[in-house]
Formats: sequence, structure tokens, C-alpha cells
Amino acid sequence: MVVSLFLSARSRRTTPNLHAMARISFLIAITALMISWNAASAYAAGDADGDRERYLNELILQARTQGLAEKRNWHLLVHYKKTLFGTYESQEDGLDFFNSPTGKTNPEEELIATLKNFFTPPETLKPGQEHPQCNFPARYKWLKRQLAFDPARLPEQQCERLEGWLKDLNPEKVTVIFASSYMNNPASMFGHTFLRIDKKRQGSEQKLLDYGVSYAATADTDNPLFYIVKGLFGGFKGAFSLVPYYVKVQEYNNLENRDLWEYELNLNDDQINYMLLHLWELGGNYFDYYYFQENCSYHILSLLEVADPDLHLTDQFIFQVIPADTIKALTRNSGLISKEVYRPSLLSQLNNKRVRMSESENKIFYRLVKNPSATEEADYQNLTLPEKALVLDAYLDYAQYRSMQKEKTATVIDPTTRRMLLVRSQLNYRNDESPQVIQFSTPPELGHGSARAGIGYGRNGNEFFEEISIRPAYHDLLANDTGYRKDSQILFFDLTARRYNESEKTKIDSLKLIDIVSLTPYDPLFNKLSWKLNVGVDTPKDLDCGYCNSFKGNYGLGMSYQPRFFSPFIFYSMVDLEMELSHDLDRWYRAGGGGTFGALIDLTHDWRIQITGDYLSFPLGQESHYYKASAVQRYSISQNADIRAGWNVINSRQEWSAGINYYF
Amino acid sequence: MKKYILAIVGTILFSSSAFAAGYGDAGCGLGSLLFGNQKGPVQILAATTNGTSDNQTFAISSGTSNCDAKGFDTSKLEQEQFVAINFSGLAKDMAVGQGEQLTALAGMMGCPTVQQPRFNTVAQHNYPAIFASDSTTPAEVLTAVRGVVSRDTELSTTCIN
Repeated sequence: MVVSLFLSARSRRTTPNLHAMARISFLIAITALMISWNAASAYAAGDADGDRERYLNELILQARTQGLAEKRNWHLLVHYKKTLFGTYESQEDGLDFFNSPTGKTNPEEELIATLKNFFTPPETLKPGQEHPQCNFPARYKWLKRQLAFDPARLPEQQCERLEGWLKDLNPEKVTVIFASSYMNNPASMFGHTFLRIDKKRQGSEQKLLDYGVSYAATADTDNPLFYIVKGLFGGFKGAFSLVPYYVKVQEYNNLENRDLWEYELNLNDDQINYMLLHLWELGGNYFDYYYFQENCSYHILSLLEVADPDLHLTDQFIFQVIPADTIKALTRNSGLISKEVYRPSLLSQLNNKRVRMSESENKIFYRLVKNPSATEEADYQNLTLPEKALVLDAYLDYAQYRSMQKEKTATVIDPTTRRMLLVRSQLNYRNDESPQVIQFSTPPELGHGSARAGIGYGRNGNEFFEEISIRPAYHDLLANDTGYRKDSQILFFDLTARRYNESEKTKIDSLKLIDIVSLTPYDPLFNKLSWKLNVGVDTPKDLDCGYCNSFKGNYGLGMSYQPRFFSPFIFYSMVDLEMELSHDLDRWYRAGGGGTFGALIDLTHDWRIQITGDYLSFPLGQESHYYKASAVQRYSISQNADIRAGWNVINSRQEWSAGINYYF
Repeated sequence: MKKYILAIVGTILFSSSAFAAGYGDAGCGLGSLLFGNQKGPVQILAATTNGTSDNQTFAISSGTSNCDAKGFDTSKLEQEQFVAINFSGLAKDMAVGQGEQLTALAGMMGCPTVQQPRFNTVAQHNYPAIFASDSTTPAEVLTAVRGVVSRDTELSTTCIN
């Protein structure tokens, strides 16, 4: 300014350059102004940076003073677990989950880096990149509460996509859903759990339109061997996904015909909000999926712990996480579950109707199944209107079942079914009373513990023995099947060892690596086979080899029979294939086949007996054969304890034993 | 014999649902996977089972903004998907004159709860028109239901979607 005045003053003395001088001085003035403006804003910007830096440091200091990086909430949000060496490691495996390069193993560094990233100026974000406050909204919410963020010094960002998502979810309640065991898929044998976010709604319930949240592995292989190995050892990435509940119901209830148990939880709005914000944080990342440990059920529990950190749901799971056990972890917390609802599968719905129908109505129903135009016949015509409706409803359930088994999602109705649907609609009948629903499965929290340990005592032809047994999972045919799938057996690493008193030998009697039995009683409507498979170490008792061990595999296929639904009797019979390896055998092996029959009888609710008979002949390897018969009984003294006594004979070598088992 | 056994064992142990790959692009809203060049809603059921799922389709995505977090609103597209996935169940519910899936459809069409009995009756009465032929598709069923609702004096004004 001064310079320009000075110049213009000077220009008065030399008039020809007056205009030029004025222009130059104007330019100089503008330049000076711009320089001083930039200097000023640079100073201001530098000051803003400085202010951010200062506030960040204040927050870090405060966080350290409050010990936030050691708090349970922080560890839950970043999924830190203590390792054997006493250090921390996060179970999250996606790198995007961490703000600090050492975040996976350093809670404090991660907290500092997270705070720092909350200060990111929005204009520095790349297109398509979201602000860290919006990528880590649960951490933001918690840290904001603990440290009382000053919005003037740490601007709060708008997270449009997150807000839109929360608005669509419109949550009122969270429900944990348990899908019962499914024997046709090893991944499903132990059941499955997922969540449902129930919407705020006026009027009637519309659960089908709520969202389901499920944690699952993304399997990238069809090869069964890789599927097993990768699934067990963290080879797959696991992540959460959001699916409309009606898709889940179709999948579990109708396609796989698994009953669902819905446990509505008592969580308040703030807790649900935390959980959903955390789900958003997890959504773009992944954990390594471990079938036995960090599986679907484990991660559902970890989500609930974020909602309410006072809940300790995952601490007890050290070696394995079995879905039914996670439900027990919930039911153990009194007041957490507000309501429990049974949702029957399509098959259970059909069977409900079959139980409600009289014998003659059932006969007409079977007749229709064989010949759908039997609606013209007198037997059907003579039924009352409600009876006609019930018979047709059963038929339609059956038709839907068949069509879904054939093709997962039908996009046309087959002509026979359509005709029957028309007939039903023309009855113009609606059953306005809802009949009592018969439960075809029992809820998992009523079942015995998934692991078992036992002691026993017995005698064979020569001497007495003591016996101990232990296994991590899961359920055998003779045990009380409340809470478990009826008439099935799944055993993993079931070890029985004996100490023989006179010969003073301690031997493995058996180590069942896997032992699975699935009995499906004969049903005129379905062709269902029963099967069994077991592989493990055994003691071939028909050989006189001083309790030598063998490695044995057996596969059986056959049929079962039960006189009616809920009958206390079930009979089964199978054709077996068996192979045994042992250096005590000629040529080290024997292989062959034979048959098994068995009967399970419930004398009372707590008392069951099992009678079996086997014949196996081995034409290959060491030629041999054996007969075996056994009778064993089990009496349940509580939900988690039973006593057993039994006798068996193999090729005239007898043995009896008795013992007590404890489930945990 | 061995092959036969292996086949049986294989089928029994590993008969999980097909791992359908390549669902359409990396969309995450329900709308994005529908009606692409794939068979649409049918694919959803094919992929999800107990331990595995095609997470890309239904991923919850923070961090990526190419995904339009479309809400589960009651637009016609969502209704079509609902009808397609629940097709056989809806056919049954409408014939029987009630059912959870039918109630959900009414809800998606914005019908208030108090109108549910009327909706059920109207659906049952017009069954032959809704499921007109052996080749009626889910989309046609939805169109027919919407038509029937729009012609009903009460439902046409109260079912707002």
C-alpha cells in the first residue's frame, strides 16, 4: 500500500508514464495483498493443523490416564484375545480393520491410530473412500462417550450410508435363531445360529420381512477334502452378511427342513445401536473361519458382548464352540431372553397335520398322494368341510416339500399341485382357530452337555477291569435325546481306556475318531435311508490277542421303523461293510461285510435300553467272522448325568460293565 | 463296488447346496443381484447354507461406496423378489386363505393390519385369476394380485404400495 502511494507520488513528476505507473502500482498492491492473504491463511491453516495436533494429544493423554486401551469395551470392539504368552492378538484378520500397522497386536497403538484417523480432514479422502468415523462408528461412539469429544475441535462427520442403513433396519429387538441339526451336511450336524434384527412396526408381526444377520465362511472350493481341511484350519474367510429373514426361513425351514428356535433378547436401544454400528465395522472385513472354534455361533456371541459388555458369553469356550452350547450361554443369563418361539419346518408342519388327522383321514391323504384325482371319490367327498380342508392342507404341505426337494426354488407350480390348490381355494374355507403346535424337536438348552467323561467297572471272561472314557462331542443313541436330534449319534474322539486287573494291562478299548448314526424311520411318504459310519481304533475281541488294537472302519446302510410318531420304540437294520487293520491279523487286515439290527426302547422318559445284534464275515485278509449281541441300558439321573449298565457277547466271549457319565 | 460306496458316502456327507459362484456384480443391495443376466432370485437360495454363503451378495459394506446400501423398501422390485422366493408357499397360503407369507406380502404392499382378513379373502376368491395357468410365473402372480387389490373398493385405497 505504502509502496504504491510512494510510486504514484513519484509519478506526478513525470506525467507521460502516469497511467503505466498507476497500473504497476495497482499490480504491486494486489500482489502484496495476495502474499499477505496467503501468509495469513497459511498461518491460519498451520494453526488449524496445530490445533488438531494439540487436541489429538490431549485426547491421547486422557485416554492413557483413563486406561482405555485396557478396557473390556475396547478389547471387545477390536476383538483382542489374550494369547498363551500373555500378549494380545486380535481375531480379526482383515487388514482394513486396523488403523495402525501394529494394531493387530497392540491395543494402545490401535487406539491412538484410531483417534488420529478420526481427525482426517474430509477433503483429503479419495473418491469412494469413507471417513474413518464412518468406517468405525462403534469405536467412535464409545471413544466419544469416554473422552467427551468437543465437536468444535474434532468435527463430527455425517455418515450418510450408515444412517441410511440404520434407518432401513429400524431396529426394535434382536433375536437369536437356532437351526436344529441337519445330518446331510457335515457343516450342519451341530446346528447353526444366526441373528434376526426385528423392525419397529405397527400392527401385526411381520417377522419374514425382518433382516437376518449370519456369519459364514466363503467356501472357495467344491473339493470335499479341501473343504474339510480349509474349514477346520482357517483356510476360508468368514464374514457377516445381511439377508431377509424370509430367505433364511426358506433355506432352513423349507429346503433343509430344520426346525428353528427363536430366542428374543432383552436389549435396549443403545445396546442394539452399538451392536449394529459394530456390525457395520465388521461388514467389510473378515475373520479366518475355524469350524470348531471361531465359527458362526462364536461370532454371534461376540456381537452380543459388544451390545452388552457385562455379558460374558465367549469366555467359557476354549477348545470348541458348539451352537447348542452358545444357546446355553444365553439362557444361563437370567432376564436376557424375553421370549422363546418354535418355528416348525415344512416337514414338521406336515407331520403336525398327520398327527391331528384321524386314521381314516390319513388313509384318504395317502390315497390322494398316490392318486390326486381321488378328490372325486366318495371317501373324500363324504368328509365335512373342515376335514376336507385339513386333508388338502396336508397334501399341499407334502406337495411343497416334494417340489422343493426336486428344485430349490420353483418358478412354476406343477399342474397336479395347481389343480389341488384350485380345489382347496374353492372350498372357501379358512380355519380361524390356530391349533396347538406339536413340537417335533426340543430346544437345545434342555440337552445334556456336549462333552462327556465317565468311569466304569466291569468284567470279561477272565478278569475285572476299570474303565474311563472321555470325549469332546457330541451325542450317542442311548443318551437322553432331549435337545438333540432324535435317533442320531455323532461322536468325535470318543476314547475309552481300561485297566485290566489280573493281567495288569492298561489298554485303549476304543478311540472312535468319528462315529455317526442317522436313523430315519420308515415313512410311506418318503424314501429315507438310515446309515452309519465309524472310523477309529478298536479292540477285536473275537481274536485271542491279549487286547490287541486295530484300526477299523465300518459303513452301514439300511432302514428303520417306528410304529408311529413319538413312539417309544424304534427298530433298525443295516447292511454293513467293514475293514480292519492290525499287525495281529494275518496279512495285517481283514475286510468284509454283514448286517446289524438294533432296537431302542424308551421304558420311561429317563430310562432307555438298546439291544443290538451283528454278524460280520471277513472273506478278505484274515478269514474270520463274528457274531455280536448286546443289551445296554441308560438311566438319566439329571440333565447332565446318567448311569449305564450293559452286557455283550462276541463269539461266546462275554463281557459286562456298568458306569456313570457326566456331561459338561 | 468301491466307487459306488464312495459315491454314497460322498453324497451323504457332502450333499450341501451348490456353491453358486458369480452372482452378478459386486452389488450388496438386494436390488443389485436381481434381474441381472442371471436367473435372479433363484440364485439366492442356491448359495446359502449353514457354513457357507456367497457373502458378496449380501455383504454389509462399510468402506466401499460403490455399493448403494439400498434399503429393504417396499418397492415393486422387492415384492417381485419376495414372490419369486416364496412362490410355492404363497400359492399354498392363497389357496388356504391365510398364512405368514401372505400376510408378509400384504405388508409389503402397504396394507394395514386391519385389512388382512379382507386381503386374504380377496386372494382366495380370485385364485383362478391369480394362478391362471400351469405356466404362470411369479411376476405374473404379483401383477395379478396387484390388479385384484386395485379393483377392490377398500383395498385399493388402503394398500398404498
